[in-house]
Amino acid sequence: MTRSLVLVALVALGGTVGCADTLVPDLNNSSIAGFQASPTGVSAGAISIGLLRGARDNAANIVETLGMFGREGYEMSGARGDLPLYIIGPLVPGSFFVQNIWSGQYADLRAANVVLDALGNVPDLTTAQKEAMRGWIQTFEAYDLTALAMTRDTFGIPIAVDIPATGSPAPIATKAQVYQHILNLLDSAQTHLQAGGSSFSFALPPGMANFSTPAAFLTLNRALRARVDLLISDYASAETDLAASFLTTTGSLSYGASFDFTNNSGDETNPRYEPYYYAEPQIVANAQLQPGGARDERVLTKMDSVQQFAFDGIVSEWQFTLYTSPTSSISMIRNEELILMRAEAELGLGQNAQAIADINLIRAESGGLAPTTLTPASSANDLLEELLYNKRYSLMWEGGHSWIDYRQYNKLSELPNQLSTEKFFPILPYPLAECQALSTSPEGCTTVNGF
Amino acid sequence: MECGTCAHPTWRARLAGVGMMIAIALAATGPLPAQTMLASAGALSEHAPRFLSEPVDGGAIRTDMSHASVLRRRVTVSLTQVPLGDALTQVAALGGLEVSYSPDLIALTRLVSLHAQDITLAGALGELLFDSGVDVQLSATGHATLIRRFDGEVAPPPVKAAVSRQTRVITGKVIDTRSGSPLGAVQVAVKTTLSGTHTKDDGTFSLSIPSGATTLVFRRIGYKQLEKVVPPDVNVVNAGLDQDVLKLEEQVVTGQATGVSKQNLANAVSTVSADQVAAVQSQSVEQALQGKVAGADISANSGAPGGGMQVRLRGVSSIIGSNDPLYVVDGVIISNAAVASGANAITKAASSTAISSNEDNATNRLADLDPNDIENIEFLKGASASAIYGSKAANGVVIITTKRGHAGRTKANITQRFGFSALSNELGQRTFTDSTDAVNVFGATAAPYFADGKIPATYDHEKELAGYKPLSFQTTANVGGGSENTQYYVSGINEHDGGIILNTYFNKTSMSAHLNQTVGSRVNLDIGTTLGHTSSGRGLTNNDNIGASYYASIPFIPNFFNLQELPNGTFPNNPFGTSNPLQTAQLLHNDEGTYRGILSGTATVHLLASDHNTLNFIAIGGADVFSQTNSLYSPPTLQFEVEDGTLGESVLTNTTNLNTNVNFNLVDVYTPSSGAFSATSQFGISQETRNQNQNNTYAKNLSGNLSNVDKGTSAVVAETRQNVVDQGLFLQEEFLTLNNRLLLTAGARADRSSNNADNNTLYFYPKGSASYRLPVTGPTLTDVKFRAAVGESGNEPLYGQKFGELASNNYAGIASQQIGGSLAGPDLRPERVLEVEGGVDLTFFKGAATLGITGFQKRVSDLLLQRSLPPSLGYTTEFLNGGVLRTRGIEVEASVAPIQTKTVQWTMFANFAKNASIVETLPVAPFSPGGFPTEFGAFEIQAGHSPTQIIGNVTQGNGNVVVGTIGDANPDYKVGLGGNFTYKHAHLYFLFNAQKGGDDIDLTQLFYDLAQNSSDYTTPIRKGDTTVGKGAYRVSQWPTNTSVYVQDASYIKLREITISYDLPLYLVQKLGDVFSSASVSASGRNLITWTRYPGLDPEVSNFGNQNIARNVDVAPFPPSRTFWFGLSLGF
Repeated sequence: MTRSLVLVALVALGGTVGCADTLVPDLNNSSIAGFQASPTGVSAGAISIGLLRGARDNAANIVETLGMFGREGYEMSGARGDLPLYIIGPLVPGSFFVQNIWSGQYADLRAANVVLDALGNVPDLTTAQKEAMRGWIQTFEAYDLTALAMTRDTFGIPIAVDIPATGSPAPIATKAQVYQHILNLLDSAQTHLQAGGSSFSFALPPGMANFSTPAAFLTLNRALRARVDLLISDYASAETDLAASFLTTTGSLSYGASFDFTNNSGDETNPRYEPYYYAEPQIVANAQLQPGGARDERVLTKMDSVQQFAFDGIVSEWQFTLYTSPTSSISMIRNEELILMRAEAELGLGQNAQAIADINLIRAESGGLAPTTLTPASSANDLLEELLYNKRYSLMWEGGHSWIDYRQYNKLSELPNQLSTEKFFPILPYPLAECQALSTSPEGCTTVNGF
Repeated sequence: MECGTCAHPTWRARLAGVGMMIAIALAATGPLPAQTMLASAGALSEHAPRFLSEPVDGGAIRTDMSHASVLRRRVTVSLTQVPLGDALTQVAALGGLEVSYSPDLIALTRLVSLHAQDITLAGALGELLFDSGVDVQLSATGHATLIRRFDGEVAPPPVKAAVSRQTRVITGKVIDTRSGSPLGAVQVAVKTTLSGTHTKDDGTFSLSIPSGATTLVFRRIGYKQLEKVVPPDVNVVNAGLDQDVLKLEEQVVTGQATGVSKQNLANAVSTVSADQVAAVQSQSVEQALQGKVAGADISANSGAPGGGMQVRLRGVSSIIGSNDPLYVVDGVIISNAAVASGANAITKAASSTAISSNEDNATNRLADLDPNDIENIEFLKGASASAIYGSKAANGVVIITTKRGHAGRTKANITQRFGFSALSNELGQRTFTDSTDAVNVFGATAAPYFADGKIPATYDHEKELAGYKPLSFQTTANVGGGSENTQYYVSGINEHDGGIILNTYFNKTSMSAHLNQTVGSRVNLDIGTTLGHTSSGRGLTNNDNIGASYYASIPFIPNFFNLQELPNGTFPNNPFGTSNPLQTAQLLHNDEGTYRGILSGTATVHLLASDHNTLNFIAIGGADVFSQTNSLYSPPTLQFEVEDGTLGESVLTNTTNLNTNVNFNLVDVYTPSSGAFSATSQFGISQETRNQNQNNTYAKNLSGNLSNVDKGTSAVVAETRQNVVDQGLFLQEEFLTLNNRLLLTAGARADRSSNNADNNTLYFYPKGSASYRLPVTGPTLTDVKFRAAVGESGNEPLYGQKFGELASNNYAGIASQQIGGSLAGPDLRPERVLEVEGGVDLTFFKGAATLGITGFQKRVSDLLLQRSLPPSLGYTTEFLNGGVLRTRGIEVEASVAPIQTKTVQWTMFANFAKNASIVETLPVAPFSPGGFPTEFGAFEIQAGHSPTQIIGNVTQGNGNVVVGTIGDANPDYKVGLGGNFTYKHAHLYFLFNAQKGGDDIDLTQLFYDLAQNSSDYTTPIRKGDTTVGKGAYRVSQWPTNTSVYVQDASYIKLREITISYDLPLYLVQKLGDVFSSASVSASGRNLITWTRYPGLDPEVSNFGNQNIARNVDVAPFPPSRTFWFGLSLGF
């Protein structure tokens, strides 16, 4: 009896060891290693759309952050409480928005490189489909890098990021190297798109409906290149690229590419559709008047007068109504900007008459304003101010355009301010995590005090 | 039985088994039952009836039949002044025995009284027929006849089995030395053997022991063990046991299935007993433990009803691994998951896309346990004690044992309490007396309130929000009892605690049953079940990015604006923000309900049992299952819902969780006949699984009045799964020698887990310890024990940390995939904690005072780290092992019982704990383990610094802004001081709990200051040459000087106080004879807080339970004090 009990106990002990398998897979997400081991056309397409999704997050952040830097408007939510950071500063590595315009872009670049590296091994895509996908991916790489280049300007940014993720970060390239790299990417994308056949292998969302073939997408690629040309003051190339873009003086000003938001599960709604985004009141005060005496139409369509709200000393009674619902899209780039970009290039090349024509087109179509009183003989500064006025009002709260333009022409301090403590910041530092990983402390890791 | 080492947690079951074996021995040797036997011992023998057999063939020889089974039937008799004839009839009927007698044989009309519970039929008859001059003759068919006292020869009872050696029977009675009352359930055992029994309710026992001198050991929980030498010629042994007021001899778990007496313990294991846990009503077990254990830092995350508390043992042990100690209830590893409610979908606290976040003020599931059901809690605070739990024990182990029944009279108790909670602190706000000031702060909207130069009335928004005092009630009941072989305990609770804010509450309904059963001669079963339902309403608190959370809204509302409900039932729109908090509190529901079942079972099989060697097979298994539903409804009428364009919102979260564990142990206890030592060897294996599945649905644009998630225009769904399998092997040897003075222990555990990158690798965790009690015999110092222990334990990676993810999501209806954020950790393995602990335990004045001092050092190596990758590499983080975190600390526990008399008893206890940690090495760049960015006060793991340091922006003398250390969340020390004072029937109990140092990041105050609305905004202070407002100064320093919002969180709290009165017995019986005790009590929790912290409560954590990033104060649920009045009745 005793002996058999001992035996039963030992068997029970021994029997359980190694009984159950302790291997548990990832139950919640696909794995990167899995894609790299056996890439498929569907996954590659999903990651390609993921780049668009990442660009959307970044665009929404840029509207808010650069919008505040450029005094387009303010987030006046008590609970957020970080408004002073944007207008008083200083900007230190480690702030929310510093991180926001950096990590997302580089995550997208990593994803882009994961697909590009594996694309050769995808069995279920044709050569043309792969080429179209390469063109798409490189265009978005360039788009992401442009946002980084604009905000870090003379600090430079890392560009050679197709390296093992476990090693040291890529070195910081100079401003010139960065912009050359972006141009190269866009041109490489052009070559791929031209070999990309007649369609993409993945479905495109409504906001990209105008660019749903590789050929049409190339006109978007060129439009994005024109933006870069202007940032490096290469006006001739800008004209060339705009000519190959979707610019039209006869079509709708809103024709272009945009980021969609939906209420679908797993998707996102427009984060800029919130009740606490107020416009800088000076924008209203300084708006030119239409012949009938009404304010510039662009003010009327983008904001509404509401009860006055004060927060941290900033006061406004104008709330943005640009995004009318949680599913309102945010523009990526559109015809109105292209026409204004062409005017900018023309001014740069001294083609003042053409520039005035383009400006007047926008004044009339978008602002309901009479033609400008300036002539081709007006001073360069007056013409530039007129251009900047129109860029500011046309593109207000759409992507930080004012800050970029006024910085480009050293005119940031012309922007309005309400507080004696307010500062303008011409550049953003790097995120803290980037600085901490660098053995030397580059210029981008300093505190930006503004002026 | 050498009881330095007794099996635990099942030792009660084992002892019951021992008792059973004795019953067999008694049957073999003779006299039974106790009453009869008592009567036959000494002079009484001529007066008691004897139980004899019917003479065979008319012969003169009769046999003693007092062991006959019919006479051993147990009856409960309650007879008062009843004629003897009737009494005999009744008792015979109760026992199912036919009794006949000649009416003239006995005085049938003599009045007799007999009150006895659960006595043998023989005992009852013996009492009734005492001195009646009769014997009872049993026929072969079991029929009883009363006969005149038989004077002839009586043969001994028939022998059923051969016994190996000469034995004798001793009897006796055990009493409590203080009260003199008899003690039941005392284990009486022969030293160095397994022979033993338990005393009955009247304190009596009888035991068969070897002839010759023997030593008896008397043991009972709550009393000091007593040894008595019984000379060969003494057969009556009475004993008095001293109460172990300071719990010097408690059994403490040291192995998976074994325990050791606290007297010999080599670790500073703190224990909290049932009366301490239930001293004052508590909603959750953690609440009941605050301030009672040295080295256990127990803090509430907010004042919300229903819990949300963290237990941190001996400081920080992990940075990004599990932050929870392992909770073991009756051998079952239970879940203490904190499932977020989904409030983030409304508040957008953490992000605009996630449905839930760690800022949702979650309840942790320890809240489901009924504190009244707990017999004992042990804290294995560090690796040296917890190594046997391997790779889940780095944060310590909390072992909870629930109540069991005891053999003897069925006892029942019912307690009814009523009470209420009341807001205990308010922040206040600025009062405006001037239109210009108001307009400067709030804009032109404020102007009309000051029209015509009037000064508007003010409203206390905080009181309007949180000034409710709804009635709370709690009913608890339990019943327990049983026989030698079967003991049961059943308890239940029904509780409703009203919250101080509308729609906040905590309810608990739960029932538990425990059964201990001896099966045959070798098997003991111990089975426990608990089934309960816990629910709570939590309101909308903590961080928020839309201005809807109560305290994220109030700071921005001037006190001259009236938020209160209008006569038509609607609320005024708040023009100074996006929400009206009174409207939100009244209309928004954030409800949580959890069904919880815990099933535990222990089977102990006595494989071998000789006098000197026992081998037991102990199987422990159990399951813990809960199903939780969080339902959050934000109706479309709310101001912020109208304004943000989503109309009504609703979040439904269903979570199911199943933990199972099973372990098998072989435990061998060897004691040589010399008694020179006792060796306990243990070998076991275990397997644990944890499965959790969480489904969230977030619906938007609900236009009606239903919260159903299908009623909106769009729904966001999420599913998260977790599945973990762990397996372990362990070995342990305990060696007790030198007359119980030296205890040596060595053990090891090997674990593998599915959470490790290599799920098949075994990780080893050894431990060793020694304790030595000096042979001192001074009048002052009665016992001195030196102890030292060293051990290793681990903390396995969390589920998912080893995977590199491609997050699948959606872009306008098209499938998209993005990099998930973390790089796969290719070599993830458990963190290792090596702890060295040493100390001394002193006992003074024969146990009237104790002092225990412990020093420890923990080195956590191979830390689980989240390397912050340079984001330009495309990933923000990577999980890896590395670095060393060191914690050193000292703990002191002292207790004193200066007065212990029958009328006055006084005990005091105190504990002190201090620890400090430092990150010794860090192979990665400094990183944030959670929390907000630096301008708000951040946490950063940095080599050479405390892991809980707070960093923030600091303006240097030259005006440059740099990031520097500005505080530390870890307190300098914590203290608990409590006392019990009893005078006759009245008791006073109190507990103070204090913390010195430790900083909180007070962002709630930043809200008020940003709004220029804090109560001290304009209170003048001198800064340099100018006078400025206090609040104005603070906010002027922000964000370039974050330290103004990092504030000292020192406090002293009167945690618990109870005054109670036990009604004297005569009053109790006036209530009714069914009652055996009654008491009334008044008690309170957190009645008084002394602190300089300017926030609502220094105990706060916006991010819930955290290893590091606690102590962040963002719009928390306000704190309350709680009052209770109770009546308790015993049956």
